[in-house]
This record gives sequence, C-alpha cells and structure tokens, in this order.
Amino acid sequence: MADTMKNIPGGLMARLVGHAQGYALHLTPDHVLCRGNTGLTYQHRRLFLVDIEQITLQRTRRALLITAVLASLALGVLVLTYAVLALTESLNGPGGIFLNPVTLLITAPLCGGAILNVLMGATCRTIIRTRAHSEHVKSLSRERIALRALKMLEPAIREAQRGLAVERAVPDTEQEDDALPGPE
Amino acid sequence: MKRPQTCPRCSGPLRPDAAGLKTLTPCPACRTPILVLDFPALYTSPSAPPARPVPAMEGAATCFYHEKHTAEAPCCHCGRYLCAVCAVYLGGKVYCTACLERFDEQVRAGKDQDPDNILMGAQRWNYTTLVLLGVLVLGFLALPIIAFLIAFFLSFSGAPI
Repeated sequence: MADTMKNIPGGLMARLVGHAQGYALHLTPDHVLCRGNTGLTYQHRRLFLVDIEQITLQRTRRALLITAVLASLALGVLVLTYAVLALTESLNGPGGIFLNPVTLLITAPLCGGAILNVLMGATCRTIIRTRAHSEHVKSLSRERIALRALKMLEPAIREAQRGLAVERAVPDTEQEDDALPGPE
Repeated sequence: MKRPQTCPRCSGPLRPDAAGLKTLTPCPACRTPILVLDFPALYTSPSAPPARPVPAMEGAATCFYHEKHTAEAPCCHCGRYLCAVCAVYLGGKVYCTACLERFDEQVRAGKDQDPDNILMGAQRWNYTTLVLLGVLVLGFLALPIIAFLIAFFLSFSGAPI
C-alpha cells in the first residue's frame, strides 16, 4: 500500500512535525485519504475517487489579514521603540533605532513572518464534494499549492470515473441563462 | 439529474461555463475568485439504495413526520426527531428537509445565509472577531504615537523628562 500511496502537496506542518498535528492528503489508486489530527484525536476519512462530484477553490482574504496584522504589530513596536528612545534621549546612541535589541528581537520576526506570508501567496478554501458530504481540505489553504494538488487529483478522478454513464454532460445553457441574475 | 452550480460563499448561481475553466474567476454575484471542477459523478444518478427506516417499538421515540418510524437523530436546527428517511446529513450535522427548504428560500431571497454556514460549504467573516482585532491593532498603534507626541511636546517645553 505504501508504494501506491502518494503524498498530495500541502500540509507541510503535518509532515514536518511527524504528523503530530495538522491535516494532510494522500492519493491512493481508488481513494483520497484525508488525515486530520488535533494532537489528541485522529480523523481518517476516505473519499473514493468515483464518488467525488466537485472540487471548488475559493480565494480568501486571510493572507492579506495576516500580513496586515503582522506589519501593524511590527510598525507599532518600531514606533514604541522610537518613542522610548526619544524619551530617554538615546536616539542617537550606538546602533540607533534599527539595531536596538528590542527592535531586532520583536520587529524582525514579525517582518519575517509578514514577508514569508507574502511569499507563500494568496490563501484559499478548498472543498471536495461527494453526494453525501463536503470536505473542507485544510491542507490546501494556499492557492498555489491547491492548484498544484489539483493537477494531481484531477487526472486520477477522471480516470476513475471514466466508466460512469453521464446523463447530461452538456449543460443546459438555456435554463441556466434563465437562472442567472440579469444586468441591473 | 444536473444540479445547479452555486458559489460556496454567497450561494449565488455561477456562470454556466465556470466548471470548464482552469483558473480562478470571479463569482458573478459576490466577485469572489473561485474555481469549480466538475466530475462525471455529478451528473449520474445515485446508485446507493435509499435508507430504510426502522419500525418504531413501543415507547421508543418516533420521527416527527413519520410516527411509525424510529427516530434516529434530531435536526440540529429545529430539534425535531427524524427517521432515516427524513434525516439529511450535511457537513457532519443533521437537518430536516423543512429547515433546508427554509434556508434555501432565505438564501435565494438574499435575506440571510443559513445559521451554521454549512450549506454548500459557505464561508462568512466573523465580524465580531475582526472588529476586536481592529480595535486591538489600532490601540496598539495609538499608544506609542501618543507617547511619542507627549515626548515631543515635553522636549519643547524644556521640562525634565
């Protein structure tokens, strides 16, 4: 089984910390294994490839929010340090404001986190739907990783569902046009 | 039977060609970038047999809609007991069809989303948390600025700091 099981991108933390916490996906010949772990409980869920009806990716603003909070905190610390140095009249002392130990210890990690968050790209919410269930795939929370994972998942799912008899593969555009809201 | 494609965020209808696109495109209603991948299983009839209800025993709890069926789970919204026929499992919770219909009407009317944001995996912002977070960040920013201004004016007044 281990030979046929492939790791799907995403869930880096789950792999780094030895599956102690996090969420990861594994692809096997007939199903996708979703493995969630809170540190106290495990949750294994199999989504059989033939049952998967739809996968949706929805971009979220979480990355923007995280960057804004980290940058605001870094700026706050910088201004606070500046104010304290101005109060104690040691602004022109050795090192100045940027080489101050407080600035380096607090602001640098915050800035680093913000930069890392920007580099990791936009966040998204990935949902795999079957007829009976919607699975929120927490490991595919970054758009770039999710798109890479979809490139692995999509051919496997289409291959597994090749034998399914499709009732209406061609969408009924006339009805759907009626359902869509008109221009206002 | 083909089911309508809806946006996971606003539950509004998506573009008819949304399922064929390979990149994230904005939803016509809420403008959230979204990518939808449809698979053939979406267009096939269910192959599993329908759930069979268990006949009610003497004194056992029965379904609100079928008094001869044993209750299996309560609806998480209205609390009515439901049998295997009436219980609808969505996102790990149980709903009755009446509640689902009511949510659907509310969503279509644009009045409200469902209470648990569970239908169609909808996601909404928790505005209380956002406001608290904003206040915290603004407070954190304001404090050193006020301290800096006090220090600035004190430096002009010549008073010892």
